[in-house]
Amino acid sequence: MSIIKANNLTKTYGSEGSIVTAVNGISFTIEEGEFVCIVGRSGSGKSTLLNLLAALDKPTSGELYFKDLDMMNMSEKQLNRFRRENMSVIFQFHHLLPYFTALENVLLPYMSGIAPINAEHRRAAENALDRVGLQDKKDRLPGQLSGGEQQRVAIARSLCASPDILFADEPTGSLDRETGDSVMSLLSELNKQGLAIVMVTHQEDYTKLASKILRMQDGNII
Amino acid sequence: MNLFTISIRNLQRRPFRAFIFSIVFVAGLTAVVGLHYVSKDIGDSMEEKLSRFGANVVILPKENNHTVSYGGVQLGSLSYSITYLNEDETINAVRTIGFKENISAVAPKLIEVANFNDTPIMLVGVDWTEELYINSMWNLLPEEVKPNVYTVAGSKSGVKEGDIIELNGSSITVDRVLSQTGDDSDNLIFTTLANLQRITGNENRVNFVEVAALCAGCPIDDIVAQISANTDAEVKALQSVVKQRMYSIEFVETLVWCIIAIILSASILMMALFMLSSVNERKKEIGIMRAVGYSKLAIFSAICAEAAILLSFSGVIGYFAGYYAGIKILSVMSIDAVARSFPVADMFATVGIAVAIAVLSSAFPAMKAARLSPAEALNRL
Repeated sequence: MSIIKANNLTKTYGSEGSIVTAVNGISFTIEEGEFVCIVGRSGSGKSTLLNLLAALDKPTSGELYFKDLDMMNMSEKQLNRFRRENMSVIFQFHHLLPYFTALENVLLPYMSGIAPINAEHRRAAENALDRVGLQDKKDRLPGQLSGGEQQRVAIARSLCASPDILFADEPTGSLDRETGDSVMSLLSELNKQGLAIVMVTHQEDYTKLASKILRMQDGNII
Repeated sequence: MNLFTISIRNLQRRPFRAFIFSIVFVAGLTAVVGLHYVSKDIGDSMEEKLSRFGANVVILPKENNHTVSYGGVQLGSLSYSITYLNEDETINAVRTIGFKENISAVAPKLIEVANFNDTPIMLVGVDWTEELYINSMWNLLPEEVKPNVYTVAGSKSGVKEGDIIELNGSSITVDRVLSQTGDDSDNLIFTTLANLQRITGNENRVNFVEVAALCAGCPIDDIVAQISANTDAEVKALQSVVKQRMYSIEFVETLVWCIIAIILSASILMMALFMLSSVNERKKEIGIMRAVGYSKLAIFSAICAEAAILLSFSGVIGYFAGYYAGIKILSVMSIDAVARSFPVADMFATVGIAVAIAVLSSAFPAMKAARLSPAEALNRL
C-alpha cells in the first residue's frame, strides 16, 4: 500500500517575471516500509521536494496524498496535527534546543500545549532514546554530546510519536564518515523494523541501503 | 513540563540579558508607580492647604423671602423673618455623609449687629478651631485664642485692640486687630460663637455654616447631594472656588500622567525590540517547533509568555520599589504621605497591566515568529 502518492507536484518561488521552479510536475509513490533516497546536485530541488512531502512547505500545484488523506486541502491546524502524529523529520544540523537535555528534546513534540507531559510521554521518550542507544545520556545537554549523538537524539525525537514515515534531510551531512555510518546503520535498522524512510543525500554510498532512488535535476526526476 | 517551560528555559538561557532588561523595566515601573503616588499625595496635600484659604460649600437656611414687584417695577426681595440653622444638627448632617473623610472643616457662623461708638458694626460668632482651619490668612495661631472668649477685629473695622463693643448690655473686649486680608473680613469683628449665642439668646443657633471639602477623591456635587440628603437647609457649592482648586491639582496630575505615558511608551518600544531580537535569534528553534507540530498559536503563546513572565517579576519588584520610593520622595519634599496600608490590590492590578503591556508589545514579534513556515525558518540557517 502506498504511503505517499505525489501527482504532478510543483513548487515555484518568486513572483511574475522571476519565477524559479524548484520542483517541476513530479509524480511518484512511496510504499509502506520503503527506504527512498533522493539524490542530485545542489539546487536540483531535492530538499524542496522533501519539505513538500514532510508538510513543511505547501506545493504550488499538483496532488499529494498521505495514505488516503489529501494533504493539499488540509487546514493549518490539520497539518500541525498531521506533522505531530504521522511523520517525522530530521535535519543535517540536528536542530536540538540547546537549553533542553537529550530527554527533554525528545519530549519536545509533547510540550506544544498547556497540559503537562505525562508518564506515558516520558516512557515513550525514554524508549526512543533506548532505541538509538542513548538511554545513559538522557540528562545531558546537546553541547555535552558529540555530533553523532546529537543526530541520534534528533532521530529519537522523530521516533517518539511512532510515525509511519521518517524524512531525513542529509542526516550525515555534518558528521564525519564513521559517525555518519553509525547513523546510517541506525536508520537502516529502523527501516528493517518497518519504518518508511525518505532521505535526501549527497553521498552515493548510502544509496545502496535504499529500495528506491529518486535522482533529481533541475526540479525533475530523471 | 509544557509550552511555558520553553519560555522559562529560554529566559534562563540568557540570564544576563533578561536581568538587564528586568532592571530597565523595574526602573521604569518604579518611576511610574513612584510618580503616581507622589502626584496623588501632593494633590491631596495641595488641596488640604488650599482649603485653608476658604470654604467651598456653604449651608444656609431655606430662604423665606419673596420677590416683590408692582406694575412691572421690581421692588427687590422682601424677607419676612430671620431664620437660623440648628448648629448641632447641621454639623452632624455634614460630618455623617458618605464622603465624610473629604470634609476638612465645618465652620458655623452667627451674625449680629453690635454697637461701637454709636455706630452699628457687624459681629460674627465663630468656632475658632474650625475657623482658623479655613482662614489661615489671618495669621492667627490656635494657641493664641483664649479658651473662653476671644475677639478679633478686621483691619478696616475702625476698632482697636482693647476697645469695648456693646451688645444687649454685655461688653466684649477686642483682643487683637487682624492684619489686612483684602476680603470682607477686614470690616468685621469675630468673636467666640458660644459667647455670642449666649449674649443674643440664640443658643445652638447659627445663620450659616461654611464647609471646606476636599474634592480630589469625589465630585463636589456628590458632597453637596449627600449633605442635602441629611438636612432641610440649602446647600450650595461655591463652584468658582472648587474649579480653581481642582485646576491646580489637575495640572499636577496631568503633568505626571504625561511623564508616565512617555515612560510606558518607551517601555513598550524596548520590550518590542527585545522580543524582536529574541525572535530573530531563535528562528531555528521556531522552525524545529513548527516541524514537530507546534501550531502558530503555540509559538505566539510561547513568545508572549516569555515577555509576560519577565514583566510579572519586574512588575512586583517595580511596584514595591516605586511605592517606597514615593514615600521617600515625599519625605524629602517634607510632604506627609497619606497614611495607607500597602495596596496589595493595586499592586496586582499594576502587575496585571504590566503583563498586558508585555503581551501587547511582544504581539508583533510573536506574530512574526508564528507566521514563519517551518521550511522558511529552517532554511534561514
